[in-house]
Amino acid sequence: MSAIQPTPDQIQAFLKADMSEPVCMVNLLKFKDKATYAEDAPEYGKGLSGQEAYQLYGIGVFKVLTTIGAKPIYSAPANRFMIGEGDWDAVALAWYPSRKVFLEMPQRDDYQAIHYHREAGLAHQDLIETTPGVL
Amino acid sequence: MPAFQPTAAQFRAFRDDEHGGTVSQVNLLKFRVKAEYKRGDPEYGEDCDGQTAYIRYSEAFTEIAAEVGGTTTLLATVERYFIGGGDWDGVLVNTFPNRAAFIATLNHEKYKSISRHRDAGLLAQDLLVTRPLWLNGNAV
Repeated sequence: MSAIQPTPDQIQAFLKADMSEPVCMVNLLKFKDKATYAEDAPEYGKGLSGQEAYQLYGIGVFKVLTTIGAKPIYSAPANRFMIGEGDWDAVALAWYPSRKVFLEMPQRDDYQAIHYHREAGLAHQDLIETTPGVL
Repeated sequence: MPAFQPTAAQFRAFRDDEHGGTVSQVNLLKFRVKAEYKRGDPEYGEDCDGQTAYIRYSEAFTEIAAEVGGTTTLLATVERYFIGGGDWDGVLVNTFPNRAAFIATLNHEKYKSISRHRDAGLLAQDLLVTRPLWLNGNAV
């Protein structure tokens, strides 16, 4: 299944959980070969790859996360599968002190200002909500 | 295709890669409903689920990995998929100063003994080899 955004059912399921609990969100990412910026974006026509565009998003998210008390734990290009198989280009982990903090992030001005890089660079992703035992 | 071990080609590709820096091993895990310890394991016959058995493996693995500078970046159970869909039950990320340290952990004298917990608890997994750009808020 190729997805970019949560479905309404996925949002409802998330909302039913305890909003005060910490979560670690595991991003499995597939990038576009070439970034697709809108014509009015400063990066339009600059020939960035999808990965480069998503990295610009990542730099912006890093700042937002540290501002809201979340932790950018880890980000890495995926080099190869050593067991099993699949087609992910990168993995990123972000820890949130509560589901509420995660849920409110997209409404922030500083997040909305950098979100266009995600749209430009990301082909699709899985986003897995996890409860960390060891961090 | 559900997998449990690297193929010979996958292991060689990892071992022979010339990249000498930090690697993070991202394990996407599917647990057995019930642990299946073998006759001869001290835990044989114990009533426990696959996740419990696998966590025993992961905790013991973290101890022997520490001897070569390995650390556990994340061990987490899956609540649900917020975007996309899949069937993984857990995520484990272990970080090593280099790929030789990971191989040394697999060859550790205690590994054979602790891997009984993995055999008992794990149904299938993917293992992605990644090269972290940042870890715990710091650039690598």
